Amino acid sequence: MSEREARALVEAILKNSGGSVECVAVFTEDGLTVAAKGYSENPGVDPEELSAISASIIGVVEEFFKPLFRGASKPERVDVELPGGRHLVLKPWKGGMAVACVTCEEPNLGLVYLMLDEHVRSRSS
Amino acid sequence: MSPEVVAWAAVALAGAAAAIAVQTKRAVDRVARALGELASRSTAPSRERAERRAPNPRQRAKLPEVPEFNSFRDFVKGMMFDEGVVFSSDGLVVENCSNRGSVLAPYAMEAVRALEKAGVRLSSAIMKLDRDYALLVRIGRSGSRELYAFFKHSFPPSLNAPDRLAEVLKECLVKEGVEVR
Repeated sequence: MSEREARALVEAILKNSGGSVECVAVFTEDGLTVAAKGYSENPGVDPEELSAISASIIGVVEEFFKPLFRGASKPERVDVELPGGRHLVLKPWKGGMAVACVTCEEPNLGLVYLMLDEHVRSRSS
Repeated sequence: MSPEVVAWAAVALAGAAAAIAVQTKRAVDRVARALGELASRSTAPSRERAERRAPNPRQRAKLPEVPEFNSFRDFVKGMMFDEGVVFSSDGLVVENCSNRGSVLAPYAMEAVRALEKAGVRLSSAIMKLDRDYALLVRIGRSGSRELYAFFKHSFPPSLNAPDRLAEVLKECLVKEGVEVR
């Protein structure tokens, strides 16, 4: 998978979320950032840090699910509500990668989920 | 000219006039019949065409009175809506009766938010679509979120329909266990 493809996904999500998503990062399962955008406008969020935290969240959720659902694969989506009404939405992608979105305060979550599902699905084949 | 010739000429003229009158009457009848057919065709359309056409106020008055419903699905069916979805102010679907609901809800919420940005707080909206009509209603608050409903209907709703719908829908949602204030 190319870095260009990851950048295209990041830009598509940012562009189509109607302002609900402020930062997007694509990262590998070992927490390395492949592509990221929207951080310059949100100086409080560091892409490297976010990728590392997001990778560990997905890893932990996956580990928790293993005994519950035997042979379960990665979670479809993980949504963490942050203080102040922001959300961190994570979605696994292909090739052991995942997407992390940091939303604005009180986001249109329906639209964020829809965009994330649509763009990840269309770029998964 | 002799009086006999005048008499014969008068009789011939009267005959010709009568013949012209008969012809004219037949022609007028034919035109009237054709017009009648045309009128009946345009005023009594087929049922299919009548459904496609916008209804007159009498048809609007025939819309059913709002009874009580036990579930959202019953409500949508009973009110003869083509589509219906209840969603929260964060764009998530609360109740849904068609597959398109999850796509409709976030975009309808975007429209509500866009109006709010312009300083317009929406209570209800009746929209004329390409083929049918849509209704967007604010139902009330559920926790920290507002609840809205979006419906599609073949007939134009009356102006007081959204308020009545919101009331009945609120009761219906409460029956289903959704907390609405």
